[in-house]
Amino acid sequence: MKIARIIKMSLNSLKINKMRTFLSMLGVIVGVASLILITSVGYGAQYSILSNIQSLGSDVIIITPGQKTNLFKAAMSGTSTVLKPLTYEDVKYLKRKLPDARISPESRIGTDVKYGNSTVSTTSVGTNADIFLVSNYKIDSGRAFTDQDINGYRNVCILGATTRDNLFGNVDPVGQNVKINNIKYLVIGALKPMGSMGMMNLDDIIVMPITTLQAHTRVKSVQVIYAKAMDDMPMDVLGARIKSLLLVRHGTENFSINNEQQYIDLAKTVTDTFTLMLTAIGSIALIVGGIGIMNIMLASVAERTREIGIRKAIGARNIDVLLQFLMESTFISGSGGIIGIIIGVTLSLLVPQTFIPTHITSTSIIIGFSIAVLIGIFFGVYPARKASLLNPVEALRYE
Amino acid sequence: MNEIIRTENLTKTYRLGETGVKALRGVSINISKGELVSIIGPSGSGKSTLMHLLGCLDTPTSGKYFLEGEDVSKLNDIQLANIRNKKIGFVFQMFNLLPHLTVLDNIILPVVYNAKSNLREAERKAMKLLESVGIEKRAKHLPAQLSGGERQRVAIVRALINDPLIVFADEPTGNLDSKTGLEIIKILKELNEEKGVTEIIVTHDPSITQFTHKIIHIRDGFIEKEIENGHVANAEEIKK
Ligand SMILES: Nc1ncnc2c1ncn2[C@@H]1O[C@H](COP(=O)(O)OP(=O)(O)OP(=O)(O)O)[C@@H](O)[C@H]1O
Ligand SMILES: [Mg+2]
Repeated sequence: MKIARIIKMSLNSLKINKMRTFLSMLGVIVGVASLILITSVGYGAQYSILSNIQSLGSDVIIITPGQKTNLFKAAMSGTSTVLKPLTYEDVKYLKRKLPDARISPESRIGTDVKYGNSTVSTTSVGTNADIFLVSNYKIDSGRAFTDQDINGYRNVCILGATTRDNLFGNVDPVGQNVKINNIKYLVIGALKPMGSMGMMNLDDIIVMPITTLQAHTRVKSVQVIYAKAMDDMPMDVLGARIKSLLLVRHGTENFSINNEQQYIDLAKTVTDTFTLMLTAIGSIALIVGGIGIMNIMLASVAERTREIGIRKAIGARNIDVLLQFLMESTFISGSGGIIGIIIGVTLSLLVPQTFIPTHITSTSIIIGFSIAVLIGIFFGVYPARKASLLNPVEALRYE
Repeated sequence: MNEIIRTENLTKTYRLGETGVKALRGVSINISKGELVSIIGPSGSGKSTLMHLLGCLDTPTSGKYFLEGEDVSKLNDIQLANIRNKKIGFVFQMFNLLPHLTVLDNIILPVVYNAKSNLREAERKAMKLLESVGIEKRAKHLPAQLSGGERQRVAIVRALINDPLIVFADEPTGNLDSKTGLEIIKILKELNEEKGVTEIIVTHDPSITQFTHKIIHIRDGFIEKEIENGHVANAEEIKK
């Protein structure tokens, strides 16, 4: 028989008992939805870690508060939970002791910026003049920070490309004043576009001196310090120097020193952990869903014994019956997969992004759907085989 | 004579745990092309069992069965299904229509299982056949919306849709009142007279046998007697 005819036949059978068809999908729906949700949270975590290092080169050392043993935790929860933070004093101290290195602090906080009648929400980045040497911030128009801007607590700012476009459109922002919390800032420059990292728009920022940021906001600490050697000093030597200097200042090792590769590895570890969790949770839910489908298909085969007998009497081959029932279970699980994807994606989008960042990938959608279909085939084979092997005479006698 | 069915010592034993039920104990028959045969016998004598074997729905425990000269007892499931699909039409006492399919869809179902078929053509043919049995207006109805006699007409049309060599009818009037039953017999009889379709009708009702060429009496799994009917009544004599 032609496959299109079998498909039509299976769909018709599923239509007869819509409620049952839907109920048999539930397990797969829940399984796929949770799979999509968990992966999107997992990828979201990966991106939030990677976004900390996005604009750095591989020769940059990253100093974060918190002990190395807690690196995982620190990365997952941000730096807010760490008891003893890094400070701008640490940065100044390191710069004094290491005049040949470029050392730059970074602290971020969400901000509303006003220009004329328009207001945009963006992220304030507090840093110093060295940031242009350790990151890939490039001046597009205007100028970079000077040490006077930093040391003088000046109300100056440099706009990321998105922030500039949103506030100024085609107007040249350099020389204009913007307002943050009713305080005026002079725009001294704008950055070249850097693109996006996952769902994070790297250009949606407004950069200002760390001193100014600390003076005007509740951010008093430094969330990250970047360091880069300007002479031939190898990275691990610089790292060791910074470590011994900070140890003297802090008394204990309540900070961690890493480089980009270590962060990428960390991000991988996080993702791998999530992938493992996802596989476990998703598989359990899907196996339960699959068993549910098998159960309902077995009931369906028993209930339709006579129908199977009739079909065989008029010339259906075993394979025709097998395919019909297999299609039915595959349709159930496949449709369950699609509904699960829709629910999972919707939930991922509804999660407040500031609370838990989520990131939906096409890979997780494709994998979710494929697993659903495979579940339908795997758990559908036994009932379908049972149906196909029924003796036609016995089946016709069935009351 | 144009032989279409020949069996040699067919037996069928149903296994029920340790013991077996011997439903057929050695049946040898010959049926020629165009013959209208009735099989009659008491309940449990093996009539349906014999019909299922002849209709390739089941395989014998021993003995040989030649259909158009081909040894059917050697065929596999797929080959038997193909024979049922193309060469055989069944009409059952219980109608055996699929309840969720319309009359038209029930009728073309045997065509659906034939990969090389054209469903549009089959639908046109089904409508013509429905017309010939007078229920073309019921094409879009579900079986439950039809009377017993109408359902049996649908079943007959379904049996005919693939132009079978043989039509098997297992007590086709068993669930019908006598008047409706006679109408069904008339249709089957006309089919045999006009189109020359070979038919084997299993029945309890001796009055039906007068319309058939050959009457096979079965008892306890044996052929008790086989009678050539010298005075076959024709279709016009039904329903006076
Ligand atoms: N699947 C089966 N398993 C066990 N025994 C069976 C089976 N089918 C039929 N039999 C037995 O075989 C014998 C013949 O049955 P069959 O159905 O052929 O009789 P029948 O002549 O058609 O009877 P009826 O007129 O009541 O339809 C009976 O004793 C019956 O109980
Ligand atoms: Mg019977």
